[in-house]
Amino acid sequence: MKKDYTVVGKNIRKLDAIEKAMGAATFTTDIKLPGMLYGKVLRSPYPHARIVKIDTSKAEALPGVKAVATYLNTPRVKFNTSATSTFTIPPLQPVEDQYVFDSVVRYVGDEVAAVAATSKKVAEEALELIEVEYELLPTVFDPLAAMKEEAPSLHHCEAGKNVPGEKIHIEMGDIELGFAEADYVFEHTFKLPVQKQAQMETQAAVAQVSVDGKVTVWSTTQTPHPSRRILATIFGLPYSKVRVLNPPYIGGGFGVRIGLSAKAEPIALALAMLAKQPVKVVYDRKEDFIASDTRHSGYVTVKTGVKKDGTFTARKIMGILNSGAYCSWSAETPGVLGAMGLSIYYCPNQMYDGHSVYTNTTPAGAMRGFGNPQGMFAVDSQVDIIAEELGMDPMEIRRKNIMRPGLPWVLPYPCQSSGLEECMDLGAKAIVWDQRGKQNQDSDTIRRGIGMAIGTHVSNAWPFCGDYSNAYVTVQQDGSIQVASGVPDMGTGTITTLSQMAAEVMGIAFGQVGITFADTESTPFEIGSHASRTCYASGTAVVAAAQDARKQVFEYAANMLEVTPGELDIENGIIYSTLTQEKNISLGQVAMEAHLRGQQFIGVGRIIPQNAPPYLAHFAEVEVDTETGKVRVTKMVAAHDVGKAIHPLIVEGQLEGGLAMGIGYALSEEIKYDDRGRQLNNGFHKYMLPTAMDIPELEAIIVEAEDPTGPFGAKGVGETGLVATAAAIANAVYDAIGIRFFEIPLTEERVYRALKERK
Amino acid sequence: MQKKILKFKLNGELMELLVSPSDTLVDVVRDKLGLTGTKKGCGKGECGACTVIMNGQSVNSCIVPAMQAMDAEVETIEGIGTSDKMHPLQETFIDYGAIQCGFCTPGMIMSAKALLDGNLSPSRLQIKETIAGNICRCTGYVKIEQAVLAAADKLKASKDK
Amino acid sequence: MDVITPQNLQEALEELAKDPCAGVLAGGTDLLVKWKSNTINPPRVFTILGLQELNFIREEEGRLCIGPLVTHQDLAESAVVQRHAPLLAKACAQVGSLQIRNRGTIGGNLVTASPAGDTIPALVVLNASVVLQSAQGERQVPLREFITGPGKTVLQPGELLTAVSFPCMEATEVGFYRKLGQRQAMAISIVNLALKATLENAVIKDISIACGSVGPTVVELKRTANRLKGHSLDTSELRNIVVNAGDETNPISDIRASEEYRRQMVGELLYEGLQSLRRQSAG
Repeated sequence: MKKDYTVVGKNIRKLDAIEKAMGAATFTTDIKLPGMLYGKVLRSPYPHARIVKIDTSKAEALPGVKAVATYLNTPRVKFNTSATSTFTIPPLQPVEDQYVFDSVVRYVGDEVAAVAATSKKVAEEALELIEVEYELLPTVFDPLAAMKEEAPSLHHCEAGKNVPGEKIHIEMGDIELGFAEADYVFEHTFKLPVQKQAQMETQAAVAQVSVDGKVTVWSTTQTPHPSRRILATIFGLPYSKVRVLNPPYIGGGFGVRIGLSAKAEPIALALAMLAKQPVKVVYDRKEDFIASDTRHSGYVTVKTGVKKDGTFTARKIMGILNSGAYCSWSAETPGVLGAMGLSIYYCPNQMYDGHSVYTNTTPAGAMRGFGNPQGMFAVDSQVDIIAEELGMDPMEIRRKNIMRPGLPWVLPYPCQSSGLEECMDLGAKAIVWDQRGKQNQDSDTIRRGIGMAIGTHVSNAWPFCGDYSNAYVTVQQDGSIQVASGVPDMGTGTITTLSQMAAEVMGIAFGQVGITFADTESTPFEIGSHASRTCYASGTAVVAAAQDARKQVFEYAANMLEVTPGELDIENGIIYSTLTQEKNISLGQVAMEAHLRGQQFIGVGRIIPQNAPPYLAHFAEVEVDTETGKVRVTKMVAAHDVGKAIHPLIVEGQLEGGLAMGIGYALSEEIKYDDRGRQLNNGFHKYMLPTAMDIPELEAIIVEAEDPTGPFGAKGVGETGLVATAAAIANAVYDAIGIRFFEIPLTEERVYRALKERK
Repeated sequence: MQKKILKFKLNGELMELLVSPSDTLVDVVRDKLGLTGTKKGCGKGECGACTVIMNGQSVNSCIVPAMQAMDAEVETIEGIGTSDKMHPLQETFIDYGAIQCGFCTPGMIMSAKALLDGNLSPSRLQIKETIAGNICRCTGYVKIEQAVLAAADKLKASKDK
Repeated sequence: MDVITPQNLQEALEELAKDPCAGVLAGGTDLLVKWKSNTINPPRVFTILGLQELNFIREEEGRLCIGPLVTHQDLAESAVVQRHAPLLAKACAQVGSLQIRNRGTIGGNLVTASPAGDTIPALVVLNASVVLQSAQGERQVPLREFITGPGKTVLQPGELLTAVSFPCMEATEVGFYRKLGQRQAMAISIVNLALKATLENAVIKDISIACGSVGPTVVELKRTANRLKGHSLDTSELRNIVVNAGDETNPISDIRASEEYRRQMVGELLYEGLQSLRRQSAG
């Protein structure tokens, strides 16, 4: 009995939009408390060194300085800045390799000390008065070099030289048999760059300790509850005495805030405890670049066995990722790379081996796609190579091999829905795939090309780590409802989407829903915003809570109306009997009646989500200027199976934003280091993320293959927009100039060199 | 350093306050006058989050020395609309899905307003050129450009009436 | 950093004579960034941005005279500049972002003397000279001699750049400006190149070529210009003539591009420029 939805699927005004449009939205960087001090961090100028001596006396003597924190006066409790410590499932153990401050620094930018002072200027002056004597230690910057015996060890590791956590091994079928059955075997290695989230608001936190010791931390975190756990553990406090919240808005995230990367929160709190005054820490853009997590760079090797007719018989992927100086998410990211890279195509014999490697560079952690864009650049570049070798159309070889519901794969949950083929067909039509290969004259110096690539992703974090959600739905005495969910809204429209779902289940107007979010004090445990999970997992919890409240309401109303609960339904806030229409009562009347008799309807949602595969097909049209090597994307089409678009405009926004970030990944974004471990691209004029002038026409096409496990059929969306973008663009560049690239970004110089070498 | 008196018009209201000569306009607006709608994304004129309109032109307030705002007319996001009567750009940014995290939004809207104040029929390319100095990492710019076009249409329609 | 606001040019020059080490602040798009990055820390700066006598675009006896405080955006939009020096208008339109163009001034761009400065090659092929004024007097210096190295000019302590001027382009002259950056806006040039040529029936009678970002200061391609003279733009030999034009430059490798790529792009952009001249002469 599927009825038309009244709220779900509608482009309702986003709940956060008015405040943001008016300049009235509060972000962490906007907070000002009475007596608030400003914290600044002293960072290591060296990529690897031991602090032999640190003297803070001159800094402490500077008027206006209220506290100086170093490894000598802050807790010696090891932790992981990422939220992984909250949901690593035993027997695996989270890698805990950082302190608030340590006596060893492991990358340029590593935190050495921090000052709290009455003004930013005084704090900055004080930093210059801290005297530090370093003993330089040997360094290593490349993950392959760091695995060698002679490389310096950054941390104690069990799994291998400089390997954080455990090596990932995934296997299905018989890989050797699969290669033996193949007519051809292809093997290629791809190199991936460091990409930066470059969210618009830098990492920031404000910490306050009340006179009775209760801690409040306003933070830019994407995961208030897990971040609360990390802080409580470091400072030895009961969770119930630590409140972490967004204020309530966050200036973007894209993964960098899953936990407390770059440690603004513990540093602000350590300073607040020392100074006994509130402390605000806002990193500047350079600090955000050099000290907060990046996307993993590294190497991906793909080996594929294929029959003459294009059927894949075996696929083996190997991934070696650069973890940087600390683990953060480096134990999990290689797993997602492998699992997603293997799962997009059906292949009976598959294997993946991958891990990260510590080096003396900025830590790598979560960034939108979480290993998947790295893997899919390799996998779907190679699929085009295979198609060409076999004389097949790239669409055809994919159509022949794509994963379909019911087939086995390496994931521990079943594939129950797929709109992938429809995505491919709609995308091909929109880009006019038939023009491929027919657009250039021999004499053209501007050469046009079309390419495509496909991908999938997750809808929450399990099985890569634990995942569950809780939510409350409370019916107010007037019949409006209050939703409580611990999840943040990074701009992804989460609070709007969750409120839509609650309104739909409760049968009330969207305007009757209020929502409390991103606050550990007023919401039950909820992991937060990551793994494309908020709509799917947090949404499932909100739906469950609303259903629970609805059930209570119906039981109460049935008594009042002298009918059975089973025959009741609710529309526009009116509860009515589906058998006798004149038996009806408003939700507000029921709630007030219950209230007067001492009862409130409080729905609780407690769920452990399944998982479901969103699918996507990306199509790129490019122009390559063969005289300069400049690649310009002239059009991108992204057809996405999102299960169900709860709010189509929000979904399109996620897809378009992902595409833009994917275009940057493919063409221009990269952080490089010099031979002393210093980032060369540590600001917006050195790091080439796209401007409005660089982004072409983007067409997002929504396909809805509803998944039985998702709320209203919805699947994950947030990360999917850039899973296959780089591969699609590289494939289009190949179509334009006939040159295959095994490394991105496709900068003008890289492409020009390749053109010259071919001549 | 001796503080100096800065006089300027902020959102139509005359302001007179003591500033340190090394303060920038964004410091004055955000920290001294408490208008935190204007954001600070880089502090070096490279992201446009701090864009305000000064004497009719969009500027990065993070690299405008406060003293150079003497006698100037400065408009910030707080001054262009009220919740009863939003500026058409504020309405279209909301309705076209041009707002995600919202951190670039005030600067983006101010850049767009400076354009529309002088041109109610901008081309898509003119819009792109206008906002090229405003980094947005969330939207991919498409919905922002659509919102600016739609606001231009609204303004034109209300002017023609 | 103290900011002092002189009321007129005379006062500015007198103050500058008293404190020749003070910084001079115009639009601040360079000075403020350097100050915030702790690259410079002048105790005092004179803000001259309000001096209307330094903000003008005038046509005088066949020359275009531009005050140092004219912003890049004003130049890009100026009908006079578009008519008499379209390549300068184009160069100005490529600077930074609109917010930067609204603040950054032509005088500032020249005094900053960045090897990548976008207006410099355009002004060099236009044969520009600058007026340097101090409390003691003024002198005129060809732009080619004004900039001596990265961030270095012949500007003496106490002197202020008070005008830029160059001959208006003749009807027989055509021009071209091209910037190659890592992205389409807010980019520092990998290479920029300006051309000005006198054509007669598509034959190059005279040509000057200047490139930025390929040496410590702007580089003029004199040898290549000489080789091009007398050739028709229709000749198939053009590519051969310009292919090694980059040999005249002295670029470095940095985060934006390698030395080698820059050298090669000089020839490519020049070839593109000649094609553009050909289209202009035909049209």
